[in-house]
Amino acid sequence: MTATMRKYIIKRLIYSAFIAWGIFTVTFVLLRIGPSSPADRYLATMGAGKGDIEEIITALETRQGLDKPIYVQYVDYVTNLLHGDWGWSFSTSMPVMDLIRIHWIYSFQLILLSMIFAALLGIVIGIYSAVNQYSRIDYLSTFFSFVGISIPNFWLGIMLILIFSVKLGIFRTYYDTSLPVFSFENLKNLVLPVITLGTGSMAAYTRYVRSSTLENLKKDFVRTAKAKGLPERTIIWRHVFRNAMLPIVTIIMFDLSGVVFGGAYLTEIIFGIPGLGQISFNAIFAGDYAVVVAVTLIGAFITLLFNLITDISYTFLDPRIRYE
Amino acid sequence: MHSIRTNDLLTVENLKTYFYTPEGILKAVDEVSFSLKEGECVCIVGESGSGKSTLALSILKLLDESARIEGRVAFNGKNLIELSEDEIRKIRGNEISMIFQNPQSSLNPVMRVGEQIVEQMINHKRMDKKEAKSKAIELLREMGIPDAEKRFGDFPHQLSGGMKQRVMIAMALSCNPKIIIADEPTSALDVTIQAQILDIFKRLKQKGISILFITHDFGIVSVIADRIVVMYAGRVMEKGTAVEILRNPEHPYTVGLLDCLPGTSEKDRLAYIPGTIPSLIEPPEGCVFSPRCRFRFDACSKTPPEYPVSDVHSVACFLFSNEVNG
Repeated sequence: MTATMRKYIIKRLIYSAFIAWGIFTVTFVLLRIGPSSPADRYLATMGAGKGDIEEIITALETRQGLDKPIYVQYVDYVTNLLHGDWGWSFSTSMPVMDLIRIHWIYSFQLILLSMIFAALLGIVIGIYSAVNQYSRIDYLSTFFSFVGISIPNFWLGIMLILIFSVKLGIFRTYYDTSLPVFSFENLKNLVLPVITLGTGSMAAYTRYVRSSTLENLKKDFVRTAKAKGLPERTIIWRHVFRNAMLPIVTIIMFDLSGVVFGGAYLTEIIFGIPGLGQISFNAIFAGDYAVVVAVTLIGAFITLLFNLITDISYTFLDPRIRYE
Repeated sequence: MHSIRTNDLLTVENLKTYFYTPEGILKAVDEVSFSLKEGECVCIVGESGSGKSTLALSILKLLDESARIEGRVAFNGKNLIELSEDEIRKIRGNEISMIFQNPQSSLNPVMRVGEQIVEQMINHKRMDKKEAKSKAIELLREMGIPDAEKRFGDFPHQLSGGMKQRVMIAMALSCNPKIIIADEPTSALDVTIQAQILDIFKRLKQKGISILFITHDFGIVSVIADRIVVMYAGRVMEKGTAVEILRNPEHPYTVGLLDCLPGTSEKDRLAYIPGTIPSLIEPPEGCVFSPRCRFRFDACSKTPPEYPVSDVHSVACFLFSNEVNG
């Protein structure tokens, strides 16, 4: 790694910190100006009916610092975050950090497997489609990628459960949390969720890879490779593939943030997967703001991190790109 | 059919390349015949759109499926046109190499130039990597590339246009081909670089490599050509030795092209051939050049055969038919 590269990465990390701070601020303010007071929600959750409600609320607000002006609360929150204290989740009665430590693996396995599924199939089908342009397989894949892009994944998930779990009984209708995460049985557990989450992305990648490959197949250097007498397989995988993948890397990385924030949420809820989407969904309804803020921030960090990785990976994938 | 002389390395006979387009059949190359001997340089000359590049690509069957190629391209006792994809692949880059017009886009931008030279040798000659690398570096050095070892690991964008074209030539030479087809290899380069690249081609010729050189530039032709084939609208207008054609051009089109070279005296006006190259989908009846020809007469409504002007020179023009001349 060169010195300029190191400088570039440090610069990007500082930018990322600023963006994360901005996201945190917006999330914090939106939640605080929301219609219900966190204390009300807390009481509702605790089922408090005994005693003087007003008194309890005041006591609670004082204890949690909710009676202070919003900017003081904000400064306190940031200070705590920087000290590694992500707050207390009252709806689950544990520190937010512990809650996340328990649940992140479920989201991670789902997203990772879905991305592998989408990227592998999307790239292979896209290239095959482009190389055999206007063949029957090309038409089929173009049609199915159109369908795949159009189907909302919550609907797909419900249909998959209906067909493969309810009617055919091949898979469970829900995610069995009693299975260890790293086991073959758990993999089977994940088949439907992965298809649900991955199909839209896979279909989109197929389209992008197809058009990028077609574009590169027409390039002069491909004609050169052909004139050199190289076999078609070598031409496609050594010359066309790497060039065609350059724009795809960006698309996959951008899509990933959509998958993390949108698709994975819904998929976890449909299949009852206890991941970060699920806990943040529950936290929103419980008014458990510390959890919502934490999950939002984690999502933001992941997106920023992947953008950074994308930009850095370009210096390896495309030798023409240098960051000054 | 006349017999092939023994020293003809490549013989093109009645080559036709038609593109089947929605608008109709595009006759890019029509009834073209010529031959290339060992160690000589044949220049295919013509304006853009005359079909000369299509001709070059047809020889190695490098066109896409919309092109239909007919006729004979005899090489080593085989008709290249009839070979399967696998068979012609063994000739491409191995016995017949090709160099293209634009070195800027003809190299893979994400691959080191050395790798691009080496892969051809590994593919055709089954060389191991180390052996191929040392041969590649030697070739780069021969092409006049300084610091060849270092350049071997460069990416194309780190090289200038002239250097890239040298890499392309090194690549073309890597498997010791008998023939090099060069499609306007100097058109995208500065004039001073052009001269250096032409020097390389002259050296290749001296080494006994046959060169089929596609160009529109008579300046280049006069430097490098042993024989010339003048093409217009997919057809051969005139062919013969370079000396004869440059000194004594006969076809009105060749005369016009040579007149277009800027003269040295200041009062000379820049000459041009009136009109433009015709549509290749609906070419003019008879002689394709007749609509732009100053000398056209009744006979030109038919397609002219080749009339010999001398042993080494023939013209496809009715002006040279015996019947007309009496």
